[in-house]
Amino acid sequence: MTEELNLNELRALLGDSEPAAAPPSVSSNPVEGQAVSPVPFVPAPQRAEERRVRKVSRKKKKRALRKSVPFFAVFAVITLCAWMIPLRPTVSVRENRNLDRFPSFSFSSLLSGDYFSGIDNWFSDTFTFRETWMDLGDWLEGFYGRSSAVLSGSPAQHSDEIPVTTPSAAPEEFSAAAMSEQPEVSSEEPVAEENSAAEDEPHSVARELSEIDLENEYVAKSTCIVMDGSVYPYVNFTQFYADKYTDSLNKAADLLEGKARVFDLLALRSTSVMLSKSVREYMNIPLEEDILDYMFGRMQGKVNCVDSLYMLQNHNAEYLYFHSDHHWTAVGAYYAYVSWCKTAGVDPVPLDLYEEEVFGPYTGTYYGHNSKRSPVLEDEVHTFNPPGDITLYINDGRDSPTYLGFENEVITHTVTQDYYASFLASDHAMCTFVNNDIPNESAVLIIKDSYGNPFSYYFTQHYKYVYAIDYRRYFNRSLTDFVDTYHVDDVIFCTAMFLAQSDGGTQLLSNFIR
Amino acid sequence: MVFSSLFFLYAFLPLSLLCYVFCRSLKAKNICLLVFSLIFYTWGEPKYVLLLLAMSFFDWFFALRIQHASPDAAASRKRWVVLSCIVNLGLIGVFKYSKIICSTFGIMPAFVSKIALPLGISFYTFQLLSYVIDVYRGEADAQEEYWHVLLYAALFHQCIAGPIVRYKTIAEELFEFRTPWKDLPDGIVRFSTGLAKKVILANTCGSIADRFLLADAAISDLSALSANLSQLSKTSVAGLWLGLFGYTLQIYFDFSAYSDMAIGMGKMLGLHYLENFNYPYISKSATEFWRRWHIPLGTFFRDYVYIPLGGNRHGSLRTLFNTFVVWALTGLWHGANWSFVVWGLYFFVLISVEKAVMKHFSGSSRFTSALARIYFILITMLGWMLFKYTTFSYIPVVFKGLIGANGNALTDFETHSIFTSNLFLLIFCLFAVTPVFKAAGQRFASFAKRSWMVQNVYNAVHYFIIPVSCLLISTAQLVNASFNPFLYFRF
Repeated sequence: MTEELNLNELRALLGDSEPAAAPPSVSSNPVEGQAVSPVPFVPAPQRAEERRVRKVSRKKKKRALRKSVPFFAVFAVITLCAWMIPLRPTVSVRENRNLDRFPSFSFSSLLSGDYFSGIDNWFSDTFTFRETWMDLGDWLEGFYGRSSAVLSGSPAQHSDEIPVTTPSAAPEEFSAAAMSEQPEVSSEEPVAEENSAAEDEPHSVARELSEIDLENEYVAKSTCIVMDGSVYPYVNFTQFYADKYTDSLNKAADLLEGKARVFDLLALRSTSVMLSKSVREYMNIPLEEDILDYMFGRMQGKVNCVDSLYMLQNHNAEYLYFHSDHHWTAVGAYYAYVSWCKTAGVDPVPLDLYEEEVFGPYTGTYYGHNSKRSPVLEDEVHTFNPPGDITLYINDGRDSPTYLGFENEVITHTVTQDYYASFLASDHAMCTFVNNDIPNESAVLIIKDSYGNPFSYYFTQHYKYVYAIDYRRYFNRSLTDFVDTYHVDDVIFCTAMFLAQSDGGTQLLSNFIR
Repeated sequence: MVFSSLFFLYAFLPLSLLCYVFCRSLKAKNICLLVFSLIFYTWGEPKYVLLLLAMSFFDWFFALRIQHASPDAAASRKRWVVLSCIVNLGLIGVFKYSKIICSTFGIMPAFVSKIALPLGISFYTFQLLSYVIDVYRGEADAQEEYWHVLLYAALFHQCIAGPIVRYKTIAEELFEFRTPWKDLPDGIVRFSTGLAKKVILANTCGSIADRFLLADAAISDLSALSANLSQLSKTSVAGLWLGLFGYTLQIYFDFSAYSDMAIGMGKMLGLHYLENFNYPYISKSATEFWRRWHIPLGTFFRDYVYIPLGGNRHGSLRTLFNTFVVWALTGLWHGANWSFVVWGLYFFVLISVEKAVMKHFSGSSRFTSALARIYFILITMLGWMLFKYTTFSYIPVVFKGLIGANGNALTDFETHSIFTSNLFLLIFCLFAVTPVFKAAGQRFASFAKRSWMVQNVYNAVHYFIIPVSCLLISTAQLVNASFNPFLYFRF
């Protein structure tokens, strides 16, 4: 007899080793099924056979367990670790974000299934030794394949054809003399912000929009190329929003005609600066050169368009963009400022005169694209503190009209080592630099998103007052109201190209430009 | 909850196994299984668990009525089985097909548009139907206990994604006798390899497919139709083929991985489910493909539709009609959309043509076999387009793109980058859809029997290194997949 016993033999010999409560027979009819009775007498040879089968069964069980126990030991260790709640992380340093929290209970969330999916998400997102597991995952992906340039992130978004525009007129020339024509400002310190009474319907829509993190949306949807340790986002062009943006800026120029000059500086993606045109063409990436031509073409004669692209491209051997983040570095912002100087007709202040500080290692928004297939380099954040008797005031206009004073301070090193927040202490509704060394009352308004944070510092050398407002968060005054109240001489829009091409970005801007 | 989630792996599964092990009697073990199965279903579908309970109740009741009817009362027995079919098919009709029916007639009442597809309804309805029909045919006995029928329908291993387990094939192991230890190691290997197949192979192939052929969410967004079509028309020829190849792999790995995990978990407990797949992509014809692809579904339609309709015993025209019905239903079972019906009929045409043509050919050489395999994999890949695109407008654009008729480039950077950065994985996938690894494992196993030492090495590799590696790799990838830069909180 072979060691392999079939089911019926075992059943006959072992009886009901795992009996069910009067189960009906499957193959026989119920009458036969009920006729099964206990076996009162078992002959000796059968008992011997039964013992032998039991022995075989025990042996098989032992063998099966011997094969299975090592696996279950590993499985048990991981399971136990997973349930060590204190070991579960709450913040991911690698991704610069708070991890999911255990969901709060409600009957509606229970019925909709959100409560259970929330538990699933919390369990996965805060898995014990998360970063180690992610490192292992990255290492494994290295075996999937190799490529000098790896595409990462979401599939490429649809991009419109960029229309070709013929320049109709040369940009308006501005003299440096205009810089000296400064209106008087009564006090040394900036005026305390108060909520304007003009709280209308579009305003509240804008406030709702401001709750959406437009930059995070962009980052999450980005298609990126990871090459030589740096992440380069794809470029998208949406004509509808590009037109909306340029119309808004033309409107700003009309509103401020005779009051202040209007400059537009579109902050470009690293892709357009760091990668050659031929490489971008090969990669089917729309050229930001063409986008700039189109958008500047629509603003000619009204807005002073600052073309920073060629200046940045000429210096692209320097550390202009972070490898792992969608922002430019302070050096990149500096060359954008130099481009502005060229347009405005002023001499830029050399970077050597600024006090440099270095922080790091810094892993930015795109560090999630890091993989062994094409590793992303970590960054350093270099800050350049302007020379002179300068005070920086931060006024979070949304929540509190009070000032938070900082003395040329490099602020905010959060638990997540978000060193980009060193510039203007991250994104605030309004920041004001006051340079007490400048005798006149010159003032500039920089309407910016996060790209404007390192950019704003350089203007302290040209204006006594530098007002940097974040159009995504500032709702106290309209553009004209602000310019009138603060006696602003120049208005500079420093907007990320991707936000100038977005629904939310253009809506928020057009809400402010009144 | 899905098998390839960390919560299932490290919370639900260990807890259910632990409770199961501590239950001594078969009844206690089954109660434990039922409780965990209902928790599993409720976790994913809190509202529709009531539907599962109700359908199980109806079929338990109908089967009992059939069983208790006098053997002479054929009409009464028939009435109950017809009633069961009406209830089961009626409910699946309401919950799965009401939208397609209403949209076909150009009406969409508000209550219909709110109906969500209950999890696993296609699988458990067919299981319950098979139970009642088997009782009616005298091939199985009705269960006296309601919870037994519920356990059979709700068993979390196969309730939401199959394999479709027919009552008569599992009843004995489920309710009478189980040998729990014998296949435990094999169950572990099957489960862990299935997990890795899903997490590594299926997910990666899926991301390749989505990149070139669009993600499902984008396809179902009708407002983005023209933008999507424009994007697809610009996708390079090589990119579309790579996407289609990725989708072909994804759909097989995804479905078969779930089956592997279900079969593996069943084996761990001494339950043996039927195989769902048998390397379908090595098929040389559509007929062979359907003997290898989703086997229980083919068997179900053969036994419960094709043969009752008369099979091939009533002339060639009737056979053709019966085949047509079976393939239309097979397509419809896969999804509530006409594209699935067309996909089913695509196979009806292929099989009918094959039957007509193949009888004139006899004998086969290695060369013709290889040609037949290449022909058939191409045919299958093109067929999957119907599966991928529930909106027909996409299909001509993609088809033209595949032959470069959209004016699209032959290849581009995106295709090159995606291909090279996944090259080793794609090569591995090519081997994984063939029985190469299985044959190598069997050879190793038979070689290992020659010596005690080699046997130990084999055991260590087969029962420890492979499953543990699969578990660790899958866990790492699942943790990695939770990465979501959208939640980045800096701003």
